[in-house]
Amino acid sequence: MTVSLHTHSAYSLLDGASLPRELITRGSELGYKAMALTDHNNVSGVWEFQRLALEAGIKPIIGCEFTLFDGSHLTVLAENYLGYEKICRYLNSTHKGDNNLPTGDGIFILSGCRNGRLQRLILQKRYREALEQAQVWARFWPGRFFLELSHDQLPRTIEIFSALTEIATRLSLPTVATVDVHYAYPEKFPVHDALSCVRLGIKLNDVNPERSFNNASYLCTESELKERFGSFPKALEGAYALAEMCEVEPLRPPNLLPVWPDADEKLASIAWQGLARKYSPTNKQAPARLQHELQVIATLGYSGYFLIVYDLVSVAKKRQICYQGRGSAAGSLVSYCLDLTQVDPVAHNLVFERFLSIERSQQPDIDIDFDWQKRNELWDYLEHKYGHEFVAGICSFHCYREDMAKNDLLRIGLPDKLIPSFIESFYGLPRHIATHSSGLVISSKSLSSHVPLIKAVTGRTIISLDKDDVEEVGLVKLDLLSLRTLGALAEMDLPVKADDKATYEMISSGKTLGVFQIESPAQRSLQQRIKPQNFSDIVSSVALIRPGPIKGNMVEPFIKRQRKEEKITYLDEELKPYLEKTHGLIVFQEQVIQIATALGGFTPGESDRLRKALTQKKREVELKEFRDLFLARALDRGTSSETAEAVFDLLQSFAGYGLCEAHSASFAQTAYKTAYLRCHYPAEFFGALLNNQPLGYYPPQSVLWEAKRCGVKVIPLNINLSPLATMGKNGELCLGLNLIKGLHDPVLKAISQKRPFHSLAELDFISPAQLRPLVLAGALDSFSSSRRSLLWELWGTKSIPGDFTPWERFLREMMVLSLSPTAHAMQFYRSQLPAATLTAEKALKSPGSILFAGQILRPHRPPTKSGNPVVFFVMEDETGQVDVTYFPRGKQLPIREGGIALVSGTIDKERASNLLLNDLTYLGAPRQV
Amino acid sequence: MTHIWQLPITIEQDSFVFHGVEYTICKKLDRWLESGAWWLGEPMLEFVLVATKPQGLFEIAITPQGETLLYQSFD
Ligand SMILES: [Zn+2]
Ligand SMILES: [Zn+2]
Repeated sequence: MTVSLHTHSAYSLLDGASLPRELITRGSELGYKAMALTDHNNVSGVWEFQRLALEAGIKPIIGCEFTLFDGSHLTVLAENYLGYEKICRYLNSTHKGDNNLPTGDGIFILSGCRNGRLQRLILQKRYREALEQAQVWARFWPGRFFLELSHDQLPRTIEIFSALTEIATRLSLPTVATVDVHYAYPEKFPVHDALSCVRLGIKLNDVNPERSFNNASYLCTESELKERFGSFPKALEGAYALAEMCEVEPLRPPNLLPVWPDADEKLASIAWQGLARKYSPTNKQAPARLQHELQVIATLGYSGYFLIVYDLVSVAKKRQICYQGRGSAAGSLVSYCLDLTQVDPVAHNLVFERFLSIERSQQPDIDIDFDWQKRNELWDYLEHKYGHEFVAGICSFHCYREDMAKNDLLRIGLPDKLIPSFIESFYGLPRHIATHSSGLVISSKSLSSHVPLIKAVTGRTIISLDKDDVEEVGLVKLDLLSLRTLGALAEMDLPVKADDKATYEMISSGKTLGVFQIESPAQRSLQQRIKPQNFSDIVSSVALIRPGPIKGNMVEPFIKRQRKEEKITYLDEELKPYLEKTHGLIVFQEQVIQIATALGGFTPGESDRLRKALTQKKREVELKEFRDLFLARALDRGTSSETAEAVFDLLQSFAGYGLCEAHSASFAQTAYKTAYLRCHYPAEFFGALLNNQPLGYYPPQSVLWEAKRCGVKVIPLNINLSPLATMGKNGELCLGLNLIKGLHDPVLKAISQKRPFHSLAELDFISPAQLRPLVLAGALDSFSSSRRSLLWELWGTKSIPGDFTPWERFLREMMVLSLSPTAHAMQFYRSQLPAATLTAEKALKSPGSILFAGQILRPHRPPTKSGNPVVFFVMEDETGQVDVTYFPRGKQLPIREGGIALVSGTIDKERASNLLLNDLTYLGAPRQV
Repeated sequence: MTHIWQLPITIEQDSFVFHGVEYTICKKLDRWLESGAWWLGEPMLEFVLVATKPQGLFEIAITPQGETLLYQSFD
């Protein structure tokens, strides 16, 4: 029999080279009967470890290696769930400086590795003290304390073992044999050593006692263990016996879901009221659907959870905080009736099963976007309402990817030739914990007893479990996302009319700069070609420019079909009801479910698993099974095998990398709202965008100049007149003093209280460092016509006549404001450009070869179907923006963000006024300024 | 005094010759493994600490190829 009572996984961050899966796979190969996970001071890996061990038929034992206040180590194993709770509570209390070790039932204590307190004393030959310490512990943990003989092929191991055995005899304590496992295979030692160097911030050539000495910390075979513990057979027997003493039952947390008396009834009552408000009594579909959804929710036990979310958005409503439900939750009528989401799933035929289904019994995932400035307020509300002990954020483990691994490996001085193989070994190992996730959970029981917690820098409590494990523990995640666009919408607080013709016309003309989700060059080109007429056109277009539809080659056919240039066909007539709204093409994730259901006879749950198999890598086997199943069932139902294969290939090419329709609809709604406001209230709209930066695709200067092109009058900064925050009203956009970088809030406040000012002398309450940006932004222009003189005056020097050149002024405005109210970079180049150079406005109306000059924005290099490189970017001048496409062939032209260039190319009238780049020359600083 | 030698030696029937004196190993006191600079291609070495007759204390390293080195001596 073989057991491992001391095993570190990669969750001992940068101190374990194997993920739980590798440990369990190896353990299973070697015939291990039981394995204990004992990561350093955390239990983040336990659920994954337990799940995998059970699958492999190995008894999982959950434990932890504690680091005590003196730096010594102690191994703790949980006999059962009670023990696990004690471990959690201890770990969670150490963050508060508590050092009371767990005692009593449920736990077993092992004296630790070579870094254990007893072992350290023995190595210092302080045998008496070691004996006394053992005595203290034996009394502290009667019947539960074991002397750990940890064999790691290090010097003086036998000496330690002999001394511990001596203590065991004197105190009648049992001994247990362990290997302090830090990786599955001995060959992984260099990887572990490299990780240790990263952890310690040292180079491979540096000597450090924290590094391991040799490659002995792997999962040994039975004979290797017998060899290591040949003279101490009792310790091996002791280890088996201890493994036996731990409960067979795997750890199962109690139900942590928030419970509410009569939750089902309460939820139903609120939902039915919502239904009555939102649908006419003649609607037959809605009530039947609501009934069904409520039943599924009640069966799965999530009514209480829905009530919590309902309460949260009710508070948001009461406090007038903008929000918008997104994701698959928008496919639920219950969500809609509770006002969690704002898109009618019945009218838009959104699928509920993508969100919840009984057979899948996956937890509901409700994501809500809130105004970014108010999100924390709502989090505070939840903590206050349910108690700090019951609310926690979730984290994400940042795992090694290629770049990160390469950086770390270079930093520790790994020779170049070894780097590729080490990148592979590092790949996927967790490196650090990121605590800034938007997800949170609400529990019915004190979290500190059930999950590992950490404190984020923000002071919030965070569960240090992967999000899948959070689900496994039975906690339901709620995502409070923050969206700056919602902040902008809240700020405008203007009425939006549905189905506005002018708005659709504006979108169709590609004038969408600043509009949520449809402002990128790819989107604006799409909008000009499909010319959306209604809301569902926008829903489709939001989902179209995504890897799934692009890779599945849906975009061009969609445009052609929308423009009635191509016949709408269906691979199978049976698919018509599901694909009609997208012209016979797959655009949404839900359509995958529907097709699998219709043609393959899949249950909704099966279809959703198929969708997942299509999305996730490493599921080839599962995907193959699904394919066979789909083809067989489709054949049974009378579809030809050719058609069935073609349909499945279509599903596969879509690969699930699409948006779900429910989510697109939520986003499309925000897109429509922002488009409407841009169309009818441009000053208010662009003002709100500037106040909620960074937001969207383009820099503030582009936003400001777009406002100007829309006829908005921009009022420059003036310390005596400007509002504190930028404000647009009735066609005028007053820039706010808050745009000035480096000006702190107290100063802003003082300015607003003390103004008007007539000279620099009256501003002596502001430090020169903060006055400087005020001068450069032009806010003090009323004091003097020369900004440079003001600067001299500011530093107490006699002013020297003369001022900055207009170009110098412009550069300084860009520096302190990220925009210039009076100038665009291109204006300074006009006089030096060849006579044939067109402005953006003219270029867009001139098909054929042209010469154009502008500033380069947002270059990006998307992956293409053919693999040939392509660069997309925007070029802007004072009259507009031109979208440029560049296919690098032969000589590569560098495309630099912010660069100012003269370009030649061809304007393609068919492709929505896109410029196909031929040549590009960068212009240096302008000549005459 | 500790001396680091790193001298190749031959051990036959628990005996080896060092500086012209033949030592016989009477007890293996300790044994451990030590990784070299693996990133430079150095191998893992096995070490044995032995007590000898005539009285001496030696650290002997064994390479993966089975070669033995007298690594250190302790007076
Ligand atoms: Zn340890
Ligand atoms: Zn350990």
